[in-house]
Amino acid sequence: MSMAIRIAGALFRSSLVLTGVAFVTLIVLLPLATVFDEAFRKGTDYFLEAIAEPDAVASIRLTLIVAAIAVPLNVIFGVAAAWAIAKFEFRGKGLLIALIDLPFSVSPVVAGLIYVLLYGAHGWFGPELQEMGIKVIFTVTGIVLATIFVTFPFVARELIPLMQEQGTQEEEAAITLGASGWRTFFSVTLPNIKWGLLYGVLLCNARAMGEFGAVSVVSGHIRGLTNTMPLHVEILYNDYDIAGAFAVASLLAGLALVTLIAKFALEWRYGDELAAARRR
Amino acid sequence: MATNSPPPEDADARQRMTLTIDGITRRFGATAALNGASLSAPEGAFLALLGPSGSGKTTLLRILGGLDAADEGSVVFAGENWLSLTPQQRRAGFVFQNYALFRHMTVAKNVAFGLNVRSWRTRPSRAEISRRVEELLSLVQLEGLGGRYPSQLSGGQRQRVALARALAIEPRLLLLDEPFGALDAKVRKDLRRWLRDLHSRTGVTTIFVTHDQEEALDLADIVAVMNKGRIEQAASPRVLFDSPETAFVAEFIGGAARFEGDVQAGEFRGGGLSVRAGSVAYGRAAAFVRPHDWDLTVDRGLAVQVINVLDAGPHVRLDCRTDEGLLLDVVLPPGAAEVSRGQSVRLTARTARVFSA
Amino acid sequence: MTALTLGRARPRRHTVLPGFGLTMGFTLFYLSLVVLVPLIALIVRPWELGWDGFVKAISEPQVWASLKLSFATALIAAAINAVFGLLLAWVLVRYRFPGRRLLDAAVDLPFALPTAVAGIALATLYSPRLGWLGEPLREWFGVTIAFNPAGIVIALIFIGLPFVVRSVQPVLEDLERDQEEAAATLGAKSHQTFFRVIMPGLLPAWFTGFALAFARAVGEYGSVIFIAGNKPMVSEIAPLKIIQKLEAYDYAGASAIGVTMLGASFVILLTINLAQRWVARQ
Repeated sequence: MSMAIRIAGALFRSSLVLTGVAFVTLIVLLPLATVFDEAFRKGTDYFLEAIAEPDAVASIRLTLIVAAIAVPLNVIFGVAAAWAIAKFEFRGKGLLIALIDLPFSVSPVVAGLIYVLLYGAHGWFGPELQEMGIKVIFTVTGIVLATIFVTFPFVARELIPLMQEQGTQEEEAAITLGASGWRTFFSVTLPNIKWGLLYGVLLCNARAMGEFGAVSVVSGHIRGLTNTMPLHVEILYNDYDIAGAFAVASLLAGLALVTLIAKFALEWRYGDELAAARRR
Repeated sequence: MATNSPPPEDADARQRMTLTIDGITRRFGATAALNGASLSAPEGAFLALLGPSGSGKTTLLRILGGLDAADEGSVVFAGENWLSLTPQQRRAGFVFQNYALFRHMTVAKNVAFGLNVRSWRTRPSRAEISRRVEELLSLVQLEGLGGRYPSQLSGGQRQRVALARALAIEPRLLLLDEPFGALDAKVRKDLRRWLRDLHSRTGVTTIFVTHDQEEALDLADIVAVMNKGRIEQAASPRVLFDSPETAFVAEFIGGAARFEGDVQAGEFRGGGLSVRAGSVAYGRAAAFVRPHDWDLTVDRGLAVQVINVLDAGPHVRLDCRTDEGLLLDVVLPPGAAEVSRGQSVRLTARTARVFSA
Repeated sequence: MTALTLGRARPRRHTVLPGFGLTMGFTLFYLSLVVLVPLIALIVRPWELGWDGFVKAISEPQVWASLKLSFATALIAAAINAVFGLLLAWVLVRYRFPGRRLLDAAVDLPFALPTAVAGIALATLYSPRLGWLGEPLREWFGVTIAFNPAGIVIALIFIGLPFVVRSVQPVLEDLERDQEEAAATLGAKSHQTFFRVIMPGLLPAWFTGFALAFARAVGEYGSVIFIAGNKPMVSEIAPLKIIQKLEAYDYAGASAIGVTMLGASFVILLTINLAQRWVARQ
């Protein structure tokens, strides 16, 4: 190849790379930088005050509680669904998988809407439950339910292809050696899926803590009571407390970065096992 | 006329026969993977299930191991209603074709697994388990490798770990699914010899599945030839060889050539071959002749053209074609005759087996 | 013949490993409780109004405008993502350059970052008053991104970026080089090889990524609501209309919009499924 062609090739490649970098910087990295810049705009003291403020602390606590309930429930579901789908043959498997994936393609606001339709003041079960003294919408319960819905598929989606690829032979071997079903699951299956499980938990948790649209619909936006961190960010922003809003937002952004780093580390060490999960 | 070996009438013999499989049928949708398979084997036998793919041998093995259920039929082993037992209750050691070692456990943990999962009542102490594992690892000639992981072992080593693991539970029945399928020829030969030796030392009733005739005939006391979900004949290799009971067995064992024709007045004629038909009645029939059973004759017999001559090793092998286009092998002792390619010769069958078609 | 009658096997279901009943039962129960029953409530609710009522609810001028806006901006954003996403995937797979891993990780950020955080960040960034980008754009080009549909598109580009890249990347990685080498030996120039040999292999995944980005963008709320401006008929997105209807206790109207959006998502999902099955047949 002549020198000219080689230079042209290199120029072309560089321009592609630069375009890509510019695009990502513009679209993704600048907003991220904005978050941290604005958070400390009024100084570190203001930042600390903003996040130590009682309503903010309450929102942090609520966010953690919601995640602590939603994530384990979805993990149990994900494991059960993956076991049923990967280790057995039955008709309608495709339909089941499609249904599990459904929350992914539903708008977050619609996700909140459907729970209002069930449990709201004019909902199917709302009035009856209210008579029994149970309120769902505008309470923490509603928030937990909506969060479960939007984070529903995460763990199952990671585990199903992983367990399908691993097959049933090791479990069958364990059975012939005398292990019970539970023993087989804990001694043989669980160690084999642990990285996929962790990956799923990570994604599930990130979404659970960061969910906004669905929670916005079912929450009462009551400061100090039914606001998660994203909702609190919205309140502060609409009150023109920009620095405060970004202060709280930066905590969430920090969580996102930690999630990404953990994801990166997991992929680097256990890439092969996880690649199977992503090739869907 | 296919026959399945029925349980013997003799009461003494019945006591000695500890594995009785009767009429096992297993359907997958419209196809029957097993269609009334039956056989009996004495305690401590080394039994091979041999047959082409799709004959149902692995299905039968899995049913024996409790990894699959039969739709019909019964199995009695050591006096027990075998099929009503759970896999855990059966204590049947199963060695999978791809070993199915627990990838996240060391070799020692793999071997100890069956002992570790026992309920506290029957579980041996940790020291005892350790000792047994060491014992088994030396039995399979893998001493010192207890700390390795399956991914660090070769195929032959993994196979032996799988065996040690199955033996650890002191199985009443040892089941092996194509145990040497994934290994290369030299390793296969070594392991074969080694498995035979192991069997004579442990004495456990062993059943293995294979599609490799040579392996089955070499290793097993009893070979059950399977075809389309039924057991055509189960007998010692010698008996299978000398007295095949069905056309399938006659053709399958020993690579016989098949001639289609008719029997008239006690004589079979077909494809250029004529032989005595033995007890076969009048009508359509098939005759089978093995490569070793041909003699070169000068003036009479089947006319063939020699396509190829392989004159190396302990035999001379001729690839021949009859006038009707049938291809067959002929194996002669070395120096039997000077034959060259393209030559036309005549063959007489020393032994032929004839079956009604 | 007692030996024969012993051990008669009962016909049993083909299950070997234990736990099917338990796991399947729990799965179906949980699925129904969390997903199916609520969705049925959604699908059923608009019909209180009857078919005419449903159509009226959708064709209300503001509602219709919001639906058009949501779909149009989603489409534009997904299209832009399709182009740049493909470029990014190519660059990440084929080239080695300093910071490549960082770039790769950055692509995942929109997926991990909470939407509200993204929303206020984008609104601030493009704000014409003091935004790092918004102010220069207004001063030098007279262009205001925030508080009008352009801002919505930018936010949706942010949201949808990972979908295209992550759909195309694995396929690109798996592509065997020898096909390209064969094309080169047969005289094809690079761009010919790209369009005739590589692209056809990427097409299904590319389309899937586009469709996923589109589906995600249609229903997006958090990252859009701050930068949108929310002027009725101009910059109101459909999810906002749903919220407004709910606040007015017009459940049926809100569900009508919701069902429409759900229906659109369904169609998109179906298309992806068909595309994937078409790939499997190749």
